[in-house]
Amino acid sequence: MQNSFDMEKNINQEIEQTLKALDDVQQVEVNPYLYTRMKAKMDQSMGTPINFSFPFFKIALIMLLVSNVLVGIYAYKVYNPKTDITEIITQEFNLRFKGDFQNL
Amino acid sequence: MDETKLVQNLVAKSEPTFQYLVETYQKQILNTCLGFVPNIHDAEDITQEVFIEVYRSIEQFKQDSKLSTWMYRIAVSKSLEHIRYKKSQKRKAFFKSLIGLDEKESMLQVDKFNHPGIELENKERAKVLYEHIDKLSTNQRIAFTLHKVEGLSHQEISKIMDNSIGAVESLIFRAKGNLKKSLKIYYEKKMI
Repeated sequence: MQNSFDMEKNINQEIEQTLKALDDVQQVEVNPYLYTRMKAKMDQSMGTPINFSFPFFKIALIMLLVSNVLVGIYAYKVYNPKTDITEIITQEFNLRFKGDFQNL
Repeated sequence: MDETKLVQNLVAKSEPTFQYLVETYQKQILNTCLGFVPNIHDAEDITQEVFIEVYRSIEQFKQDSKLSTWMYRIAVSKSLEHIRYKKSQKRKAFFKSLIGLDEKESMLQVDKFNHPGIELENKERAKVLYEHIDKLSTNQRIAFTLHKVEGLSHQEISKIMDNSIGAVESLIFRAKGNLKKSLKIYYEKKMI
């Protein structure tokens, strides 16, 4: 009987002491690099916006368009070496010149 | 700096103002996060997330409460989010260990207790207390932690939780009661 009473008392003491364990928590000082690290994280996650007004991008865009046109012309000539554009249009729309026009 | 002006500058994304805000509130926010997540490295990460969130969503701050109260709310919600994430990681690691993938080590790494503000002699007891705080309902946990660890008044907690003072008092009272019950079971098992 005495033992169980003592045990109960000990348990209550333990509980009270445990509940007091956070009573004297000291304020923790902040890492001096917190802001720098956070700023780096923010810059990284947001990324650097691309400035399309920069002349390099304008020149690059024009060069890309010109090279596309040139490649297109070159590819057309390679795959259709003997065909003439007027011939293709004539065939495509089934156009025939008759009469006086044939003699021209 | 006047709070209205501070908020206006933050909305305008002024970097010096943001730096001023961080320098003014970083200790408060870090210690709040540490109250919920007793690991200094995790608490520092959450503190950073809190300020990033403040910077990104300052337009949503309606100024019907103090800026610090709003920031406390973000800190609490980010800390709880982190706790939920860690718990889900723990569950995943446990299931992986069940199906044979060795995740025991990573399971042990999760939730490592590392609170520099607690004295060495109290560390073991504090660790036990945190394990039992973890079993409380979310609202009881918030009220108890802000009161016990942060030392905030019932009124301040009621503003952060958007609750009445009576409701906060009741939450703290019930939290203490539940902790006593849960600790009693723990120490009974330990002593037998």
